[in-house]
Amino acid sequence: MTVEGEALNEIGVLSRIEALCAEKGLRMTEPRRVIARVLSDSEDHPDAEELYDRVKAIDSSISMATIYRTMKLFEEMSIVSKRDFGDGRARYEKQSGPDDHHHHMIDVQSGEVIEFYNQELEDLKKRIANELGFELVDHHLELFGVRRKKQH
Amino acid sequence: MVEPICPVSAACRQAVTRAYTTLKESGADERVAFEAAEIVYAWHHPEVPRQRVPFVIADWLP
Repeated sequence: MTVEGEALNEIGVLSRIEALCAEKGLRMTEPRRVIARVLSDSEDHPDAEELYDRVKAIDSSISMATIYRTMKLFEEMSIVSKRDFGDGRARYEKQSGPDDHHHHMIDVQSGEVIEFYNQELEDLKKRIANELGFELVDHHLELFGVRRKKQH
Repeated sequence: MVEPICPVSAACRQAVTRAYTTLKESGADERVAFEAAEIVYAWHHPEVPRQRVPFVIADWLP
């Protein structure tokens, strides 16, 4: 993302993007203010996920949906411009402890989420990591599928 | 391309919100839940370019 326009703040009271928002008359909610500040402080061009990571460090209650909605709004108001996001998506880690370790089977048709644990799978993953010269420290797995039709 | 209009009662929308909400309630990371919702939407609407998907579902999710 790039900022369109010049920095308006001289004494650091408002970030550059907050100042642009004010100039354009955009109502500043707290999530918008945090996102604006993070964008202003970014010297690179973060994509939505990188932006989320940085925002989350400040306010963990801000969701991915809020990030995308705000980016769309900022872009529509010419506060930021969108650059190549690329098609690849970074992988990430789920924050679950060893005691509640499980995976998810997700029915794409209905959205139903089924938690499962499979010892064979756990052993296999450890073995693969070991064979590749690693000690497995974490992983997550989401399976996506559609329910098979029952045979009559 | 204009994305399809999906009312609250649409199966795709219900599936997207259900997957997201269920994963969040089970303690999944926000990014895990959001990406799962993207995949569910993409299954229902393969005609929508993948890079548009997060912007569409962002209007449906908290």
